[in-house]
Amino acid sequence: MLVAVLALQGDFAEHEAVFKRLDVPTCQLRQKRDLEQHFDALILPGGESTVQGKLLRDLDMFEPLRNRIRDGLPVMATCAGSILLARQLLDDPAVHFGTMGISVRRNAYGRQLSSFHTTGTFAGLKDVPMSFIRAPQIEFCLPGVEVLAEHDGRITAVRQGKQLAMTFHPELSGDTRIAAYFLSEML
Amino acid sequence: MRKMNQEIRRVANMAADELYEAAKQLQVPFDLLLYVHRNGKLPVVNFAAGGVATPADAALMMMLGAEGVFVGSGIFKSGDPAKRAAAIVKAVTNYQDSRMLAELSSGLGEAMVGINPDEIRLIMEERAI
Repeated sequence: MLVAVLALQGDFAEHEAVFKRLDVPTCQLRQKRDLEQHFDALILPGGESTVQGKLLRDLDMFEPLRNRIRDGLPVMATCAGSILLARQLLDDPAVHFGTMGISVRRNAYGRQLSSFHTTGTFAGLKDVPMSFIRAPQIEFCLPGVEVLAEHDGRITAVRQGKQLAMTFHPELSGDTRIAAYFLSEML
Repeated sequence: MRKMNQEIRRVANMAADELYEAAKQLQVPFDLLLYVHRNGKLPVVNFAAGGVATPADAALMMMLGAEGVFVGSGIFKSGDPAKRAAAIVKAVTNYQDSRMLAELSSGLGEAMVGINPDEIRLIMEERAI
């Protein structure tokens, strides 16, 4: 099994470290040629979604990856990654992959000072550490999208088929349970 | 960059009881040093900045172990800032691909010209009041 991590921008190194702890091999996707190898799952890391979206298009990786996601490639997206998957952005006319039936507001919690760390329940897993760093918010879900976590009445993690998206960063805590959930439930 | 990463490796390789003394000598919080010891990296992005004028400069810094590159005048004092900025961003993402670097490096217009120390007219200390 090989997990591919989109490594154009953002915290891809932290995601790779999580899978290393789980003894799962990873590869980095940095250019179109990297998409030729076989991989079983895709990680869209946190970072800055506009930069990621622009680089995906400039490096001709956008369409092949979108097609792979549409065809059922298991994908886990955190923070900016969830913005890439959203079908609609509430304060931005841009749409990136648009493969997931969610409407997302970018930077919904305010300035950097409002970034915070908490623990919560994720799909029945208790006390999962969650870091919200200038996090987006999932405001609406279409039917078929299952809510896996909430914080203060706000949706923070969702699943639709083989796509898993969350607005926080599970990769920063050292807790590997969400990555393990992704591997066991969605691959 | 080499020196920084050398020092980070030195901290990472210390025995636990050496960390207290090292924190005192470096005059940094113990928790910060402990983080570097455990993770082999800084808790923030290790940016390279200053004097980066070409995609190759940026890629070189990444090769040397930078986690990001910050470019200011290298872009804005060049002939075609938008094109050069886009090329440098791609060079950082794909710093290990020499063929792509060569392509990115062509047709960028004029690069920023460095200033030799003896050519600097305005001395910073004279500007201060």
